[in-house]
Amino acid sequence: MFPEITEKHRESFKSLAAGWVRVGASCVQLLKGGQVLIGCPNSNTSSEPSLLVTSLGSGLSLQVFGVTDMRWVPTAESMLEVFSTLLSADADLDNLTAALVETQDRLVALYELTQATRRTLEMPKLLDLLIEQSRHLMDVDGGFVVLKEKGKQTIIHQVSESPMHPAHAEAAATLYLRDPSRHIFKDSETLPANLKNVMMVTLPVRDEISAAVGLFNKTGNFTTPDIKLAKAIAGHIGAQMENAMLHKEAVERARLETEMDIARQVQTAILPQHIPQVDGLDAFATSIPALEVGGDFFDVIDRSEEALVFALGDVTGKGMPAALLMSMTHTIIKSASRNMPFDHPHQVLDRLNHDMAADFANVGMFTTVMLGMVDCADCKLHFSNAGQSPIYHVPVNGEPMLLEAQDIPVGILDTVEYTTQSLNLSQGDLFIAASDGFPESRNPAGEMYGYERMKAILSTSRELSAKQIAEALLADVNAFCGTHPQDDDRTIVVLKFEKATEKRIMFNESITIYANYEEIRQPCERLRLNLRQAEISEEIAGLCELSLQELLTNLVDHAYEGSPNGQITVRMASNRGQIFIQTEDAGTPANIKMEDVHMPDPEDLAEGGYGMAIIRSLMDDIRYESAQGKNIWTLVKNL
Amino acid sequence: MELIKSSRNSIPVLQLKGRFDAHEVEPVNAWFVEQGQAGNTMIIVNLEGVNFIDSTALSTLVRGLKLCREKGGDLHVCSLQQPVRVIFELTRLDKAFDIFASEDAALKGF
Repeated sequence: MFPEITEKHRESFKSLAAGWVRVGASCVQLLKGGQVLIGCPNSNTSSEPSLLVTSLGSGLSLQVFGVTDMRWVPTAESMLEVFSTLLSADADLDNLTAALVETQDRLVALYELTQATRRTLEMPKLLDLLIEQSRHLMDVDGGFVVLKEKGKQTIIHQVSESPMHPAHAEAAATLYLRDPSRHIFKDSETLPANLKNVMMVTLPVRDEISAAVGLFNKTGNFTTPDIKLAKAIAGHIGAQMENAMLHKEAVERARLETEMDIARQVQTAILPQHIPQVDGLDAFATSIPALEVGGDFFDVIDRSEEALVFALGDVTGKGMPAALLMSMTHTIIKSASRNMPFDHPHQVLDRLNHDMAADFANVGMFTTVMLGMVDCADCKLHFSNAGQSPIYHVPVNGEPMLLEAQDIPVGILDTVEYTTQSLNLSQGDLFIAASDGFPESRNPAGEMYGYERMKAILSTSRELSAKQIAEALLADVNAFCGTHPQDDDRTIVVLKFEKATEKRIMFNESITIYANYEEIRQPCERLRLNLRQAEISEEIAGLCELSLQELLTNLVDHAYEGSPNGQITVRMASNRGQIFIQTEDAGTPANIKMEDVHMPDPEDLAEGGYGMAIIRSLMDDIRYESAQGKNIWTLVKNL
Repeated sequence: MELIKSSRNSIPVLQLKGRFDAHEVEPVNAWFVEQGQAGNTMIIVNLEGVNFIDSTALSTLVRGLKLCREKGGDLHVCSLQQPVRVIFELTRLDKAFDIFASEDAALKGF
C-alpha cells in the first residue's frame, strides 16, 4: 500500500512529464493495479497508442500516451524506477513511523505493567496483570496461564469474559510445551469450536516449573510482533513471579528462624544458670546446643544439704512443638522431683508420662529422660532411665560401665510403669549421663565418635574434677569432628562422689494398713514417734500427726467409703529440711481442689469439712496424683 | 480412750482420757443423745486427759453443742491441753464453744 503522492512528488512528476511532452507525448500516467496515482497533464482516458512499462517489484506502471517508439522504453523504465524508489521509501517511512508509535505505546504499557507488578508480590494478582496487559495490548478476548510443577497440582489461571474450559487450556499448554517453537494455533486446526486462534508463549519462572501463557481470539490474526510482545510481558511477569516466590520463601525461612530462635530461647531459659553443690559431691552439667536446637535439657536440683536430683533428657523433633514439650516436661520434672521420696525417682517419670503421654502422642514425639538422685548421706544413687543413653558408671577401682536404659522413653505408652535402680557409691566413683549428641557426632569422613572413645576419655580423665571431665569429653569430641559441623546438642551431667556426709535422713519408712479408723492410728503414732526421735518439736510433730490422721480419715471415708478390704500404704521420711508424708491407695480417685478448701465458719457450727482445711493450713505443700488405679497424696512440711 | 461419766450439781460431766479421734467418737455421740433424751440441756465435756483430737472428734462435739443449744442449753468444754487448744484455734471452733480453764469454771459458767 502506497501512501498518497505528495506535493513534492507531484512537482517532480510534472517536470519529468514536461520532458515527455516535448518528445511528443500527450499524457504520462503512474499507475498501480490499474489505478492512476498521478497523471500529467491531467488524466485523460485517451485511447491513443502508448508505451507501458511495469516494475515487478513495486507493482507500479508508467504509461506514456502518444509515444510508441521503443527507444523511449529505457527512459520510461528509469523514470518508473525513480518513482518506485521514492514511493517505496515513503511507504517505509510511514510504516516505520507507525511502528514507532506502536512500539512507544507498548513501551508505555510495559512500563505501567512494571510499575504495577512492582507493587504486588501476590501470585494471582501477577497472573491477572499478565493476562490483562496482554489483552489490552494485543486485542484478544482472553488469556490464561498454566503452571505445572512435578508432584503438585497444575494451576490454571484465566481472565476472560468467556473463559476457556480448563481442560482446553491445559491441553493447549501441553501441546505448546512439547514444541515451544510453535506459538500460533489457528482455527483450521483442532481448536475447540469457540476458539478462533490461540497464541502461546513460555512463562519463564524457574526450572522446576513449566509454565505457559495463552492468549486467544485475537481480532485478525496473531503476528510475529505479537509473539515478541507476549514474550516480553511473560518475561517480565516471570521475573516478578520468581521474586514473589523468593519473597515467600524468605518469609517462610524467616518464620522458621524465628521458631528456632524461640526454641533456643526456651531451651536456654530452662537450663539452670548455676549448678547447686551439695556436701560430698562434685557436680557439673552443661549443654552445647547445635545450630538447629536439638531438644536436649538438663537440670540439677538440690533436695537437701546432702542430696541432689539431676535430670537429663532429649525431646525428639525440633522447633516450636519440641520447645513447648521440652518446657512442659522440664516443669513437671522440676515440681515432681521436689517431693519424690529419695529412693523413688520412677515416681517422677510415672507422673511425667501420665501427664504428658497424650501431648506427646498428639504430635508424634516422645522424650528420653534420665532422672536420678544422689544421696550422699546414704552413699546411694537412685535412678530411673527412660531410654536415655549413654549413661556411664565409673567405679573408683574399675572400668567405665555403660548402663543400658531399663525403661522406654516417656510419651510412647501411657501404661508404662517406670522402675528405679540403685547404685552404692564409693569415694571417687563417677556417674555420667550424656545425650546421644556425644557418641553420634561425626567427623568429616562420616565416622561416628562412638561409645568406645567416650569410654577411653572417661578412663583417662577420671582423676580430674567433674567440670574438667566434662570439658575433656567436649574437647575430644570437638577434636574428632574437626570441620564437620555439630549436628545435635551435646548435653552432659558429671557427678563425682567425694565422701559420705553425716547422715541426716532421720527416718524413712513405710507402713501398709487396712483402711479403717482403728488401723490408721498405727502410721500416725509411728510418725509421731519418728518425729520425736528426730528431736522435732512436739508441736510440729503433733500437727504432722494430725494432718496424716485427717488425710487417712478422708481416705477411709471417701476413697474406700468404709470398705474393709481397702489398703493404704503410708510412707514417711524426713531430713533436716523437710518432713514428707505420702499415702497411696487404690480407692476412688479424689475429686477435690485444695485451693477451694476453706475452714468452715464457726458461726455455722458445721459438723464436718474441717479435715482437709486443717491439712491445707498446716502443710507447706500438698500434692495429689491419680494414675493407673493408684492415688497418691504427698504432704510436705518444711522445718 | 477412756470415758468417765459423772455429774456435778446435777450437771452431767463427761471426762475423756487419751486419743480422741474418728475411732472413738461413737460412745461420745451416744452419751450426747442419752443426755438429750434425759432432758439434760446443760452439759460439760472435760478434755483434761486428751492429748490428741482430730476433726471427726471436733465435729462430734459440735453436734453435742447443737443438741444442747437447740433446747436453750449449752455444752461447756474445759481443761484443754495445749495441743488440743491449738486445734480448736486452728479450726476457729474456739469461737463457737465456751471454753473454760477448769471443770469448776465450766460449772460456774452456766
